[in-house]
Amino acid sequence: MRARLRGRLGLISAALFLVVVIVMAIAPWIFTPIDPLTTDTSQILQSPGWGHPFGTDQTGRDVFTRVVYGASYSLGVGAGATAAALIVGVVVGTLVGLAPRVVDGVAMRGVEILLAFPEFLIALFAIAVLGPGPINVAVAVGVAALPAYIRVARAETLVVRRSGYVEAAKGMGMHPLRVAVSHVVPNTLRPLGVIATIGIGTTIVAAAGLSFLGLGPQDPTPEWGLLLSGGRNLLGQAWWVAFFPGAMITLTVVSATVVGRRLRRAREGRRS
Amino acid sequence: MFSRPGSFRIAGSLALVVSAALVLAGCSASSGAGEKVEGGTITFGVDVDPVGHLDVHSSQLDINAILQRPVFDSLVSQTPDGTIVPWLATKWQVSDDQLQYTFTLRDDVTFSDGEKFDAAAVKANFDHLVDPATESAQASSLIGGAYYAGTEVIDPTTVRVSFTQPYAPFLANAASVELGFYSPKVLAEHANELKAGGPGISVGSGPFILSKYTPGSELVYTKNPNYNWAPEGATAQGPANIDELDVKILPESSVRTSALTSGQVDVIGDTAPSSLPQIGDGFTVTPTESPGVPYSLYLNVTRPVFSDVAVRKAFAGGFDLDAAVKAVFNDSYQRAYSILGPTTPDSYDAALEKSASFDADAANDALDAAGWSERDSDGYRTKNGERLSARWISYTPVNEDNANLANLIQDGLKKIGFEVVHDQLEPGAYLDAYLAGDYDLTDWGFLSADADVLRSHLGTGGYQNASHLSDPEIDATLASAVATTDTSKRAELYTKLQQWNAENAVIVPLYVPEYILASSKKVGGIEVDIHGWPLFSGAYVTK
Repeated sequence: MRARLRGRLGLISAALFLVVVIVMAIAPWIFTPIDPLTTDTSQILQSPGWGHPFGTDQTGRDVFTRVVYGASYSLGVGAGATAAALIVGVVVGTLVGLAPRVVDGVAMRGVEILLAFPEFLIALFAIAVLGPGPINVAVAVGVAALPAYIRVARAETLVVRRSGYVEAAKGMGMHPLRVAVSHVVPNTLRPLGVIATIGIGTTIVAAAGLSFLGLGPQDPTPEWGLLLSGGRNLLGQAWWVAFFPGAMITLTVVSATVVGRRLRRAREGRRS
Repeated sequence: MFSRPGSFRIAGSLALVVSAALVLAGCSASSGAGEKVEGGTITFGVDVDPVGHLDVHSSQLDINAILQRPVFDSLVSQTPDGTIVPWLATKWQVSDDQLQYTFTLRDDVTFSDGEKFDAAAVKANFDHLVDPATESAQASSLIGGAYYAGTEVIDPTTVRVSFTQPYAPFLANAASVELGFYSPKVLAEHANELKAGGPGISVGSGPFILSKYTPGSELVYTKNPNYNWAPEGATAQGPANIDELDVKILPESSVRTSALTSGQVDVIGDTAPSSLPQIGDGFTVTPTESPGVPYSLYLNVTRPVFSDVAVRKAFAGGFDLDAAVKAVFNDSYQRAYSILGPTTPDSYDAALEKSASFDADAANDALDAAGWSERDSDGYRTKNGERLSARWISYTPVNEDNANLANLIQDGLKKIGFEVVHDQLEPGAYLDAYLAGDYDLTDWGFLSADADVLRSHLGTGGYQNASHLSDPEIDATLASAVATTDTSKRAELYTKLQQWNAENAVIVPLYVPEYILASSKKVGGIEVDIHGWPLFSGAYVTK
């Protein structure tokens, strides 16, 4: 009983936190009246306090404001890259699942080779090919996430393909493409949606990691990975410059994971 | 030393104390507390790996000059106050027309691979340096560029270097590591591997021998036991005290600082001013103001936005540089007023220190008058529907202090409606943009112990002329300055150039960098040269 309550509390706070971050991303001005790029040479490296809840950075910019404005890029990349990977993954996975065995075999061996590499490494490789930049970071983490979606979409397709209602539709003489669109895809989407919720967390970390390395958006853009990187040499003097962006990344990813796992359990028919 | 009036400006109390200590200690940067030991190892943490740029004749990296000085000797040596003293050349004679320098060489010098140093070795090195295949921009310019006529062997210990017109900076430049000497055998057998460098390739006659190079990680030097030809008057004569010098590549400034404070390394270079409070009093800190061109912005005068001198001046005076430099460097570095650093020998114009100041109203009025009077929805100025915007390109990695300074400049100019887009580009992308001239401004500081550095920055076609300036009057002034050895005449000409730039805002000087060396009190005897770079031949460890 108590365990369930604790689990629920965790779930509720995680969901609430995600809602707050989403609002930050859409309407940052609700949280702070300050411009995230405004410098102030009289307010350099102020520790957290009344005027500046998260302190100020090396050029007197308000860290809280920059963290709030950073949500839109980080969340945008996370959601955008995940959605793109999901769509491409479903299309490719379904086609591969419905394709003749030879095509399926070749394609899946390719996917497995990609899966053998850590996602971040693939993202780095994609950046090396595409060149650095804020859009390219989104593309790179999307590409890195893609193989997992293809695999799941294909596996679901194989299951759905042999199910009674697909057999029935085929028996009634429905066109294979129509079967795929109206029966196979909708049924593969549900499990993939759950994976995607957890996947958003992973892509946010990957995107922030690339930005931290200086491969994404550039200073003075407020972006969490970049903010973290900007404060890394100051940990001994001004911990808040790196701490708050780091905490935001961590909490967002943990929240996305908690909510995603809850959704997965719900789908699997477990209550906790 | 440092007694020439006007040529040295005190850079804050820290520099005052240290420079006084330098004078008293005969330019010894650090003095160990304990008892001196023979042998031992000193570890030195540096910021950049010169990988692929190890050839002293073609590299333009300061770090390479620092790391190759233990290995390569030069004809002459320059003391921290700019005086030229004998080194591998015991004496020299300049012809009356100043076109020929005849050097008498030591006859007891051998390279660490056993080859003899003689007039033929000097010729082989200078020939290599100007050979187009070497792809040298800096070293070939230091030896005189188009003015260099050639080197001839008179006899084994006499060599003559000739010029097509008088070239005043030659002796000072001959002291640089870029004009240092490889073993002729290496030049003959490994010419294509010099840039990659390493043991057996980076072979000179210096007090240390490069014995191991692991790119990205470390360089190990062992002492040259036969060394007995240090510069005249140097405190360290004969072979080095220490057996080994280990250089560790530590790109992160915070990592270098903690490596020093935790005792993992004995000395660190290019110390970030912001880390000085963390380093504290338990260490020897030696800051040296860099001579040459201060860290500056180079405005591309061929681009529409900066072709108008009024816009350039509004740009230069449109942000509060004093406050920005103070905010970023916390009094460790001084703001720059001139395109020459105060310690550049015989040239600095201190009168400019009163002239340049921040005036937002004047900048606003000037931009209004120049036609940039409308504002768009983001608050930036426009003219004929086009936004007042400048593209600033920087070579990555951009160090954190410069990035912060850039933010303050961008934000300051935004307040007068001037947009600055700062593109920090990977080296390859930067070079593409730079060579194509696809930028409105870029940034760097350029160390040089001679004011002739302005020729490459302001002269038509100069290899560092990022402003694309081409002005016959400036070219003529630069040419007269480089042709005269009369120091007061040179100072007068360089003063004229510095004032011209203050009027025309082609280069916007930002701050005078310092090379800050920090070392543990367990080591001593480390001297610094005119750039503030460490010399380890007299260094020792203590018990």
